[in-house]
Amino acid sequence: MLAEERLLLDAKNPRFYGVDGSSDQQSMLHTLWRDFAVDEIAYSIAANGYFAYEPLFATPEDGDHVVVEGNRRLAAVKLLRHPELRRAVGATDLPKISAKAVQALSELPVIVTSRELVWQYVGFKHVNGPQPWQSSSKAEYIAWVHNELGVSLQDIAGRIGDQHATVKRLYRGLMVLQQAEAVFDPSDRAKSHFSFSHLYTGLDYPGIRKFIGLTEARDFTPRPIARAKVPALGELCGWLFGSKSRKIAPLVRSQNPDLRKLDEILQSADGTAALRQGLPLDVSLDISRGDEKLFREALVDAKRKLQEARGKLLTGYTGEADLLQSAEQIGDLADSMVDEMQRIRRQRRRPPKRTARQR
Amino acid sequence: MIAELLAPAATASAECHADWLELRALLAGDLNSSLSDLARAIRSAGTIEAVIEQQMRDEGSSPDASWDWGEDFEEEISPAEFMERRDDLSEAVTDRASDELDDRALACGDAYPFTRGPQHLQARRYAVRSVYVFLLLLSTDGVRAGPPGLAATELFEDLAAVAAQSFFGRHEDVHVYHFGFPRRRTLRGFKPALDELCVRLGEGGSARSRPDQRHQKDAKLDLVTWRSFPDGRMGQLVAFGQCAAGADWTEKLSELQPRAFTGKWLTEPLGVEPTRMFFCPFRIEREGWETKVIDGGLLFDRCRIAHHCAEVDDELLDGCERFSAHVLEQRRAHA
Repeated sequence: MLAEERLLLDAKNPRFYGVDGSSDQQSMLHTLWRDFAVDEIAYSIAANGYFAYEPLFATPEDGDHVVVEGNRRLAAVKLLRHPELRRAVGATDLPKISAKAVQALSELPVIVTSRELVWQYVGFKHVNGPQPWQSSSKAEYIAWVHNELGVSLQDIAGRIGDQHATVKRLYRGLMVLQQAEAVFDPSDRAKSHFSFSHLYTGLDYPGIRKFIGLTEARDFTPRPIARAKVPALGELCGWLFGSKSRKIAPLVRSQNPDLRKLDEILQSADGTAALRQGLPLDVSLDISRGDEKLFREALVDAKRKLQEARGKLLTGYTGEADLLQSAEQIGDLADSMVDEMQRIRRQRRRPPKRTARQR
Repeated sequence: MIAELLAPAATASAECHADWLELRALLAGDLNSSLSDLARAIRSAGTIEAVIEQQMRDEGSSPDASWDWGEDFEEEISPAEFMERRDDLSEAVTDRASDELDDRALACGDAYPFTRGPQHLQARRYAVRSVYVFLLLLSTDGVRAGPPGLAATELFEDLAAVAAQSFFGRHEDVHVYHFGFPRRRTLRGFKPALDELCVRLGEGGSARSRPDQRHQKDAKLDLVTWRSFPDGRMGQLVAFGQCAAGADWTEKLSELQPRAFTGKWLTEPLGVEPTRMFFCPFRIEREGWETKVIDGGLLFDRCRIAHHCAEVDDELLDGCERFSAHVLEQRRAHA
């Protein structure tokens, strides 16, 4: 057991990645309260006390102990015990606990360890386990374990039970982002929240990979993108995240279907050129698909819709003149299209005229 | 009906999730809510499993699997893969909600009563005295949620008039006529009100007499806005507006047809066919916006109304504040 006052919040907590706020204790407490749902834990501790079988993990630093696992729990305890901290962060909703309960929380169960020894547990719990961090925080943590502790990505995945290459993909995403920072400023993104998952998911898509020159050989290295392709990476980040200063909205609003659309566009030179001209995602997609594909899709779609309408005709049509007129127009349009298509087909099938020499 | 703040389903729209975050911030002691709050609420409600099941069906990986940790399900998806999908989905839900909040801030401009951080939403201190929060609570809690004696629909119609006038430009040539029933400021009867409207417009002739006229209240027309010329001649920009504050607003989108209205109820056509306007306190989803514009004409959703209600008189704002404060108080009492 260690005294609560001797336990400090961890400035290196991956949750803080990309979040506003400085690293002094009160700022971190405020950030945890404001952004990371500390209230749910505080209510639980206020009602039940601190669960002794859930010790904090702390590492000795400068005479105190920095909690490397359990920062939200520590924040909750500090807020419950100290009214001045509650006032400082605006945690006015929290219940006041009795003097006895305050005393009971004065010491907390702590396992004293080091960051190096506890990473498997932290990784399991927050990367692949029950209390997930957001993807950018996961990636930061994996990169720290890999780059600072020298643990291979395969070992990290194995130790935390990742069977779906999540560890490798997150790491690659962060490395690509770090390379992108030479030409793209993440803090200039158009949206408040940084959708890191758009980037790390997109790196599996063939069109995006080709566009930024991501090859299997470089996939999971610290510098996955060749220097010559970094400008292209900057363009990609612009489409993914937009730019606040240049008032450019991101093209990708959601992974499904926007990220897929972007991938398809980047597989076509015409589509890519359209994006570079600043055309919207759907317009660029149409350009990338070309008229042949669009014609086929439109025809199949029209047939499906007409079949749907045919099925509802008996019960859905009550004699409206405008609908009959629409049906007649569709009939005329279809007839003229069939004539035109037959003419084109005849032309295409006709053998080319032989020249006098061939005769 | 006033209810406590229930956890939204993972399958709900980004607009619904953004509404939830705004409400949570308004109800919190520190006027704050975070994306983590939303993720936690969705996880604890358990609806994310339904989305994963649907994904599996869409992928054809387990078309007949019932959501259950046994039998068919376990053959198709491992607990580790489930965790990964759950995390991805949870993040996608909060990403979309966050983007929607950004869009609202953009659409409302200075009228948005919240500030954003990468992970959180903070209500401004004056939020409860804002048009936006009134419209939010009107959409979530309904027109009857306010204190006794306060007619929320009338407040809404007044805000719609302010927004329409602002959109047409705050200018002496821009006029608004309240036609919606019950008429508080204009002539009460349907025919006298139409006659008065024609006089003010300077065109349209007069009210046409029809047998069913005496049963008419407003024939779906709530307000008319127009921008005239100093010469007073016919041919001006006119818009007919309908207000729909209730949850059935989508059914009303195309009820008001200006051409049919003028043909049926005025003795002479207007020189230029009126534009249609539609006002609702809801935030209209980006998807489907286009079809709603086709149906409803110039759409004024929550954000557009709030944006164009920067200059609201104190009396109207007092009414909005009374409504909002009452609804929030009731919600806190029921939480």
